[in-house]
Formats: sequence, C-alpha cells, structure tokens
Amino acid sequence: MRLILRGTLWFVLYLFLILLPLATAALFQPARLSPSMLTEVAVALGFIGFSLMALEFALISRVKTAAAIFGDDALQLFHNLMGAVALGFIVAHPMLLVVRDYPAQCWLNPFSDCASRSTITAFVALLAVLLLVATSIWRKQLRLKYEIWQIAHGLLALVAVLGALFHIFIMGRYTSMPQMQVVWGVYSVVLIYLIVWNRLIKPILHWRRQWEIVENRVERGDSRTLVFKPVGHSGFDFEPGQFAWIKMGRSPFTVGQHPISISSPGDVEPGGTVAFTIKNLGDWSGGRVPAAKPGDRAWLDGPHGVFSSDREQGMGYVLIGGGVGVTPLYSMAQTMAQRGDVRPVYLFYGAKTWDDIIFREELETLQGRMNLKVIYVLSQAHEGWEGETGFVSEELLKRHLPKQYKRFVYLICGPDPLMDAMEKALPALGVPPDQVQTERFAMV
Amino acid sequence: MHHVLVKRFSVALSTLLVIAAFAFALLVRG
Repeated sequence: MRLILRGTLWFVLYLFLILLPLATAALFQPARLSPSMLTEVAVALGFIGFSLMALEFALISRVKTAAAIFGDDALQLFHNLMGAVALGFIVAHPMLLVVRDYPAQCWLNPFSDCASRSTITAFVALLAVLLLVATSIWRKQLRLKYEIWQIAHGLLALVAVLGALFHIFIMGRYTSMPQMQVVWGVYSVVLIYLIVWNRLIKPILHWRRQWEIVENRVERGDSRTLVFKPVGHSGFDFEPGQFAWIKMGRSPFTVGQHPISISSPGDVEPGGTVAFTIKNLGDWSGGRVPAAKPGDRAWLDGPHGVFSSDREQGMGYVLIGGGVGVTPLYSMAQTMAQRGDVRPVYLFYGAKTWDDIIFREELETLQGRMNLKVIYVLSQAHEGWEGETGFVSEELLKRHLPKQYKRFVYLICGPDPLMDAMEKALPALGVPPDQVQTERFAMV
Repeated sequence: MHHVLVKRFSVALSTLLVIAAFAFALLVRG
C-alpha cells in the first residue's frame, strides 16, 4: 500500500510539473489575448510538449526513490514513450498555427526573408526533437554506434529544450508576466541542475570509486563474463537480479555506459568482486568487451533495479529467462544456494541451441546444491534432443510446475517476445499479478 | 512493472493532456 501511495505521489508531482506552465498561464493571463481559440490550443500543446521534453531528463536521472517503485526498465520505457508523445505535441503546435494562417514559409524555412529570431529558434528546436526521436527509434537501422548516439542524444535534447525556451522568451506573450517568468526560471534551474549532476558531479564522485577488471572469460552463447574488483574502496553489495551501468575507459567522463545485469551471487563481502555476463550484440559488446584485459580500469554505477528475488517472498520461485536474460536469474539461484535456501526453484531457460546455453555446466552443478530444477527449451534443437522445444509457453509451464504454483513468485527476464508471451500466459494460468516481476534486458 | 501497464498509462496520460490543452484554451478565451 505504501508503495502505491509513493507511486501516486511521484505521478502527481510529474503531472503537476507538466501542467505548471499551463495552469500558471491560465491563472495569470497575459494582457493581450491571442487572436483565436485554435491559437490558444496550439500554445497549450506547445507548453505541454516543452514540459514533457524537459521532464524526459528527470525520467532517466536514475533517481533511486522513483526507480524503487516503478523499476528502471519501466521508467526507461516511459521515457521512450513520452518522448514520442512530446514530439506529437510539439509537431501539432506549429501545424495548428499554420492552419490558423500563420505563414508556414517563415516558420519552417529559417532562410526565408520573413524568418526572425523567434521562428529560427522554433525551427531549430523542432528539428532537434525530430532528429532526437528518429535517431532513437531507428538507431540500429541507421547503424549509429551506441556511444555516438548517446552523445548526440544528450546534445540534441539540450538544443531542443534550450531552443524551445529561447522561442518562448522571444515570443514574449507568456513571459511578460512575473509569475510565468518564475515558472520558466524554475524549469531552467532544474534542467541545468540535472545536466550538471549527471554529466559533471556524478563522474567526479565516481572518480574515487574506480574498478579494475580481474578476469575476462569466454562463455557459451557468444558471451563473456567480466569480473571487476574495487580499487581503494569497498565496492558494493547488491540484491541478486540487480544491474549496474558499466563504463570502461581512462576516466569516469568517458562516453558510453551500458546497463548490464550482475551474474555473480549477492551478499558480497566488502572489497569483493562483482561479475557481469555480456552477450556479443556488436558495437561495444562485440569490440570493447572482448578486448578488455585484466588491469583495465572501469567505473560501475550501481546497483540499480528492483528486479530481485529478495524483494518478493514466496513458497517457491519460478525463474523464466531467454538467452542472456538468464544472467540475473543465475545470480538469484547462486545466492539462494549460497544461503542454503531450501525452497523449490524452477528455471525455464529458453535458448536457440544446446551450445547457446550460458552457464550450462554451472547450472548442472547448482542443481545438486539446491532445490533447483532447470527446464531447457530449445528453439533450434539438435537431432536426438529429448527435452522441450520451441518457446516457453502456458502449456509448457503447466507441464512442469507443481500443484501449488500459484503461490510461487515469478521472475522473468528476456527478449520482448518472451516477455510479451509471459505477460499473457501467467494471468491465464491464474498467477496473481503481484507475484510476477519482469525485466526487459533490451531497455536502451 | 508490466510493460502493457506502462503503455496503457502513457496513452491515458496523453489523452488527459490533450483534454487539458483544450480546457486551457476555453479558460483563457473565456
């Protein structure tokens, strides 16, 4: 209940900040009214689009109190969706004005004779938002390197918000009132704070929390496990299932950080090592990760995430993983074995082939150490394979789970098709939704 | 949190914001 209350409070704050410019403008109206109702709708859409865009920075600022309620992957998805929604509002703003006879050539062509400072800043902001959303949706199709995209994403976001702010101030109709000046001032200060915190203060704080790679070993399924050791500090403990952002380079200001699940067991002693298992998906995971060698420096921002077997207690656990999505589940199983937990654990592990199964030998050993049953599901099974084939489904779960399965806790991590299938299968099996935790690993 | 919920929530919020934009115009234009 407390969680719902806290979640509601965060939502109310979010909604308040989106509607703040609109509410202030409605309460303290400007001296000169706009020529029509449609123009005011356009203005309102513009204000909402701006607020949504500005708050996008906050959604991905890794505020732990908010992430603890919603989950980092849900916040990331919400950030992605609201980015597209903001684009809709921002595009609708000039479109309505053009319908209301505003000269399109002045607003959409910064080189036309009638272009002014207000039209140019609006055009720049609009172009930045369009590029921002397009490069995010089609990053892979455009073959943009993740690190390049990350830099461009930050810069375009900044250009979009600053362009919009300049546009609002140059237009002046809603900045002439002191109340509105305070609102825009607050927005500017919060934005600057978030950017300075994330890009400057956080890396400086991380400087003293250096990590060193002590091992880089090859795993099955075209994956690698990197083991990190804290240098000059005690490292961190984590709940099994959590993840950290990995940054490899000479300084914490290095561009490019990657959210990776921790694959080693929890309950780490101070100064203990932490391991991450990374699948080769090209880019960083196919180039930088295989090249990493013992002694290389790294910075870990973590632990993050609410996806953990420690957060939900049940009479047993059902872990459902696909591909490299098994890594947080493997961490959970190892932690339970380490703690001598005797509760039953069922691991449904979907992979392409027998050779793609990461931690195959380790899982076999683990089955002897704890009450664990692993059910491998191969989508491209070899001849003679007697286990499950195809994909994890409602029928397959039914075949293997014990009678009391509705009292178990379900933890699912994997690619979108698996997650979508399970979000339908588990309710159909009568598993209460509050006993299901999910994490999509392709969150960025 | 279920992703279907996040998507539904985003759609509901967007609808609410469109309504807010029209409400604003009505308020301002009296």
